[in-house]
Amino acid sequence: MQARFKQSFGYSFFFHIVLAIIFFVSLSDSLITIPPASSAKEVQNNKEIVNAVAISEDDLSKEIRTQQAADNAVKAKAANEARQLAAAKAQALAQIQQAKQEQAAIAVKQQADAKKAADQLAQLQAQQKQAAQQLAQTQAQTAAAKKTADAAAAQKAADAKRQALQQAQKASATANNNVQTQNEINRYVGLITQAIQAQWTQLPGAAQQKLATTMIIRLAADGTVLQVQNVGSSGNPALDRLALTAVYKASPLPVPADPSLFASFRELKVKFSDT
Amino acid sequence: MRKYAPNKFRSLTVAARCLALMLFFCKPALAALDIEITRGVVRTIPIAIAPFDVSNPNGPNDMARIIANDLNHSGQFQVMPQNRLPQQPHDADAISSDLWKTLGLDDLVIGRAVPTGSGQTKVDMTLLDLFHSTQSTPTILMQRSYTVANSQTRALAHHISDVIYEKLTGEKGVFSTRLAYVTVQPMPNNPRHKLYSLMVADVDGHNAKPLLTSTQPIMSPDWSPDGGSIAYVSFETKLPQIFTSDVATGRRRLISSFAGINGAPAFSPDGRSLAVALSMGRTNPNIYTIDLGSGRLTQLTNDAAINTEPSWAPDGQSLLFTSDRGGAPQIYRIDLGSLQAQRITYIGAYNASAAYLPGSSTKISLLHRDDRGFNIAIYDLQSGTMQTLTQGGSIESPSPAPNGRMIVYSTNVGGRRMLGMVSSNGQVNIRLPEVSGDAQAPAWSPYKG
Amino acid sequence: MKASLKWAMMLLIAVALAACSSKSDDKNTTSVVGGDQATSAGVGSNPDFDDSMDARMAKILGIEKNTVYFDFDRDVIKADYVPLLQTNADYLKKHPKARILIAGNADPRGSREYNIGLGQRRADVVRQRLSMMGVAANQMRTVSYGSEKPAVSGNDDYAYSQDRRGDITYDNAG
Repeated sequence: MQARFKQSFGYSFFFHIVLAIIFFVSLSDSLITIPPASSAKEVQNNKEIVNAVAISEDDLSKEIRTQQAADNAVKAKAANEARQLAAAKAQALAQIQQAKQEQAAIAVKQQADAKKAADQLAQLQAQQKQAAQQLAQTQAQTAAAKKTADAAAAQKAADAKRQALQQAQKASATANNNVQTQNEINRYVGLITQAIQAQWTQLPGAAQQKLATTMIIRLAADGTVLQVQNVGSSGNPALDRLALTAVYKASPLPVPADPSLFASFRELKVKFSDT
Repeated sequence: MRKYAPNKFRSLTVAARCLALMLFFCKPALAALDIEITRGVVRTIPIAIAPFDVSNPNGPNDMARIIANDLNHSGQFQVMPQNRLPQQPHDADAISSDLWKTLGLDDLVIGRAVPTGSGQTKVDMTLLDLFHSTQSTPTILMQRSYTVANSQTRALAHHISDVIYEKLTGEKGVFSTRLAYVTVQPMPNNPRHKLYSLMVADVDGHNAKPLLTSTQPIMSPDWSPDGGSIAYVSFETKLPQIFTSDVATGRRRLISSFAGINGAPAFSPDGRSLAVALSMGRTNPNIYTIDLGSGRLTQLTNDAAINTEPSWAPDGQSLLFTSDRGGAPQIYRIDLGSLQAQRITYIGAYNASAAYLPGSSTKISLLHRDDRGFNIAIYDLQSGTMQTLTQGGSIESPSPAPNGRMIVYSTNVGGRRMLGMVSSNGQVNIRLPEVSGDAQAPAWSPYKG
Repeated sequence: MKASLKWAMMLLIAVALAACSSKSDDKNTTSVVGGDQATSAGVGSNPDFDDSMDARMAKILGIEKNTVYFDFDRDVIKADYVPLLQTNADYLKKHPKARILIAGNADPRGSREYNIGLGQRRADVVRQRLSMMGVAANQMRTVSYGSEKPAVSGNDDYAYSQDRRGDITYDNAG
């Protein structure tokens, strides 16, 4: 009995470590800044990839590549700045990383067979250990995908994207629901952004100074601003104040009526940055 | 081993479920939804100033009116007209935020000016933030109390404008600065002859006083960096000479009286020398510096073209100037160390009167001619873009405010020259109160002027 | 003509009063905003010598107006004005003690200081032409008033054409 407990305890301990690592990585992922112009789209793409991954690993890698090809083709067409390329690369990395983690988790959850779960976890462990290698690998993939994208016509890329989306939709009803949920969240994020932006008076000279201020906003179910907390001052009290004023003036903010959706909007982290 | 396997895997499954649960449900609770807002709306801050004067709230000399006028002229505020105020409070505790919030205001200034009887006035001022919290009482951002001579309430109003401006924008206000400019009036007894005056006035155009009066032209006033004196060109002998006048005492000093053109004086940032345009008996002026201590003259440019309007870089290491060496007037920059001059402007056939915009090392204000005539423009040295701020077409003598937010200029209105101001983003353009005759060649003082 | 007929110099008065200047600060106590002052006494009336001198010389020279007009952005003397300059040159050569001031002017558009440069060019071409006609260098002075002395008030092409000019005035008729 004791030996069994020991063993169980050992596994449990091991999984907690894994858990901690995953949390750490996923938290840091969420801190990666997404360029505002395409943020909604990126989030959506990210989710599509996640859904596809939930079905099979083959689909995952296939879709990641096609998805990236589509994504990058659009980007390459739209802009040529090195900065944007770097940002795209970082996003791709984040997407793949997150997708793999969530894939692992979903896989674990869905495994009825314990042996298979063990294999998956072993695999996960290996993945975690080889994180550095994977980074290099995904970078290479990104570069390869970019090259392909450059060559691909815009129409072809769009087709590939649609195919990937259809694949994801076919794969699972759950995944389908998630896409809709995410779309709805994105829609409200857009509405909130607009509402606050419309009230935000830009401080003269702030753009030159590249100042940014971050607020945590707590909302009532009807969108009324309950509390605003400055968690990252710009160092310029006047700019901080104008951001605060914008939040209060925009209250009540547009939020989804569906309680399960609103849960995501109870607390918002809003970064004001003059670019 | 095999015997224990199911249990082993059972505990594994439990742990995996925990992991999955945590990932699906705990993550959203830990991280707030991220939203990034990258650009505010370029607009003025809506504010209201309730009357200060308790006995005569609608009097023209009410400090609230002076403050309102100042803030309106700053280009950064939109002051609600007094007749639209829902109430005229003097005390913060009498105010309900909700009443004022519905008017779209961000902030409210209230105050009280009461004569104390001994030739003095006691002035209280409170700046209220209407959107600082969810509560219906406004938040006090600032409270001040002053006692001043009755004659100084106007100056105090400008000072209050400065502290409000700084509190709400994070930048120094310019409402206590002054303007120097030249007025030209017909002589009362002989309208064919003109009377030229070098005037110094508050930045709102009030309180104007002559520093010098002459029957021959006066040109190109420029303030010393400490605001203590003004350099200018006077033709009082019929020929041009450069003088400085002490602003407080009026004491004059002759700086330059060479043959030909003596023009365009510009104090160096350290105040120790004057850059000038001298033709030295020839046709074309060149740029020189005159050391005000030793009188030593240094020639900077040497070519057969008009070289004038020197204007110092903030670091004092180089000068901008106007030259038509390329065929038409354009802005050049000369390095004081190497004396190498390089052309700066290529947009438009006429650029002149350049000056660095205070607070920016890459933007210069200038007089720019396009198909709408002569207008004030901002040229960005970094991006190479030219932004025209005015549309009047017969504008000249741009001079930026010490905080770089406004530019004063002279414009032609119905055949008369008047002073105007435009914000350096082009959003606000105002005209200063009329003077008798023409008002021209304005120069904005530094902060201490 | 006698020295007593020399130009009357303008009166120039700069009487100033010093005023206290104390710094204001943000303390919650009495704060006085400093205000410098400078006032000027009146300026005496200017006798109408300029016109009488111009009128006398115009009569002597037999001309209406001793002015050369220029085209836009040009400093070339038009043929129309050569006879006028020849009249002045003949007089100056006959009266070696006569002294003239040639004042170049520009129309009011653009930079005032740049216009000073344009006016100087016009004054100097008039001087050069008179010099070619044999007038001694020491009889001539030049000055540029740029756009500081517009001939007529107005903001149209006619007004501008009247502003772009070189005025010859006699300091001493000899």
